[in-house]
Amino acid sequence: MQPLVLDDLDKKILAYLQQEGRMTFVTLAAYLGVSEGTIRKRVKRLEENGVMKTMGVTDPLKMGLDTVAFIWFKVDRHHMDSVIAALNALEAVRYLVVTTGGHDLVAMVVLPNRTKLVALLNEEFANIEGIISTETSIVLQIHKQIYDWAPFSHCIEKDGVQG
Amino acid sequence: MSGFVLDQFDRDIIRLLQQDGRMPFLTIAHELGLAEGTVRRRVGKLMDEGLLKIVGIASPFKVGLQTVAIVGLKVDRGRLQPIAEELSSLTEVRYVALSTGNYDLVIEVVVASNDELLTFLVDRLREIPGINNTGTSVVLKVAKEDLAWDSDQMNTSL
Repeated sequence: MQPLVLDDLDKKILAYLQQEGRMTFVTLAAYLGVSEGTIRKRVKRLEENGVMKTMGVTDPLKMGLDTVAFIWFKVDRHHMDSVIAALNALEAVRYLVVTTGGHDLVAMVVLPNRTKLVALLNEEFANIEGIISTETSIVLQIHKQIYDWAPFSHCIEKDGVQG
Repeated sequence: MSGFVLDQFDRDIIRLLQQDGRMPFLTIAHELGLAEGTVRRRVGKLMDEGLLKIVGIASPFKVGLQTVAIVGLKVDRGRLQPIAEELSSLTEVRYVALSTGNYDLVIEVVVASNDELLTFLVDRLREIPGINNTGTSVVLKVAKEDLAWDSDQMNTSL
């Protein structure tokens, strides 16, 4: 897909919505001096191009999902694609990345309790051909988790309106 | 932490908003058989309690942030909390967790380039005393990213 080039208006919209995802299009339009229809079209385009998604986010540790862990994998290169597909299919795996470094994959898993983590490691992973080894770090506390990483806040600060 | 206890309606509201953060309260109300005002009030309460945030989430790779890395850190035990706080204050760090295992802390770093990652690892981290060892995994590709977990379903599956 051709990457969408973001102009100033896109960046401003993103800057506002990553602070307050339910800001109405009427409000956004008033802040940015364009029509509501323009905002609607732009947001739709950002979403359709995978640039932005608006969603409710929670801390799993406060939602009764008591086990969050990072797992580093060493994988047999010949089985890389099938290992990724198998891990991808597991509901407990919420974030999976292919990496450089001492390991080939890193996953973040979210589970209701430690027993389920043991089952995941000993049963589910044991059945996936190509996993050579794993190292597991259980998260004790989430100290920081932010979602407003797109570096566009300066785009709206100069407008002098409060977000 | 507060003693706020989630009931089934709260969980259902969260589940729907995880799917679509802009779902109209009226739609949620119809879906769950509640009044619109009740949904609005509950969402407000969940947000006030810090249990729910509704945000537009950008894909780092599509907004000019080309380098994402997961870094594990071993630190002096006595400095664990202050180091977690110092790391949390850095804008390029989007996730900080205290953990067991090989690393005491796991962080995720999002920057514009490999050069910036190098600057972060060499300069920024060196300024923080008590970090003994780091293991950096640079993300080549995100194979899955799904923040919309359903706590009910996950309790029964697997």
